[in-house]
Amino acid sequence: MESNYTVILENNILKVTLAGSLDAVNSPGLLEQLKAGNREKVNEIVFLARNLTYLASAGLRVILFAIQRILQPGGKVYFIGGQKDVLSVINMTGLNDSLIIQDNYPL
Amino acid sequence: MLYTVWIKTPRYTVRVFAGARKGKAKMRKLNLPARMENFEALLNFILQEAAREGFEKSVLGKIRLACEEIIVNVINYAYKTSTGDIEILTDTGLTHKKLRIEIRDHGVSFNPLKMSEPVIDAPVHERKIGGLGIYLVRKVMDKVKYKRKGDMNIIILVKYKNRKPGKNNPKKLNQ
Repeated sequence: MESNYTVILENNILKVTLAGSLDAVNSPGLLEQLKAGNREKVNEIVFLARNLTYLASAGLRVILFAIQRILQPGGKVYFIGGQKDVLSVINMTGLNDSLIIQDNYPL
Repeated sequence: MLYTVWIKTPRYTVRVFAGARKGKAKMRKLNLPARMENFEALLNFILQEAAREGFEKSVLGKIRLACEEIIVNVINYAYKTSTGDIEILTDTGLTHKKLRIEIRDHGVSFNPLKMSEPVIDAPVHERKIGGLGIYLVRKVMDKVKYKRKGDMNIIILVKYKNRKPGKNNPKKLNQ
């Protein structure tokens, strides 16, 4: 089950590019990467998910961690280009209320 | 499976159940040590069976979601101070209208269905990390059941083909 992710912090915007699967196998690695480094001022998190085909509960926990522990109060979280099955999982758990779900970024 | 025959009479058209044919259930089993290195093999075993049975792609994703959660829980928590196996059984039933999956372990007694459900409409900063996985299992599978048999935990997951939401859906059994 192929998977890939990259994390870049630029101008207080944390961009997380997701591809393939975000599941129990690779979510711990992404979590460690998010925990590491200087995340003091993250005003915006952008999950670029156009190539993400599968999202498991482990992946949801990473998203929740990013929102709860990394994002500054009042900050925004974007979920960009989510595929139907991935958005279905997000909607089932109510996390869609905390994300700005769009097809494209920037606005 | 029963065949139906329509017989036309001068006054009526009558449907008759004629004959019966027993299908052939397909059962498969896989037993591996409950370690993360075997996670993909365990999951693929189930997904390959589901694909063979003709479940469509989005349903395969739901089966994957549910089985991943249960398998990872067994790998991470069943054998805290020892090692042990995880056993997967798949059963299509005689009519091949469903896939029944049993995930078994001989670890500590644990019923994941007794975990409290997450409060999904809570403000995001009050959301708890735990509980999401089992919540998703209940949402995506048609039946979810737990049994303890001797020293064995058994989780049973059932997914029907071509199930339409509505009055005929059986109640989910959570024990």
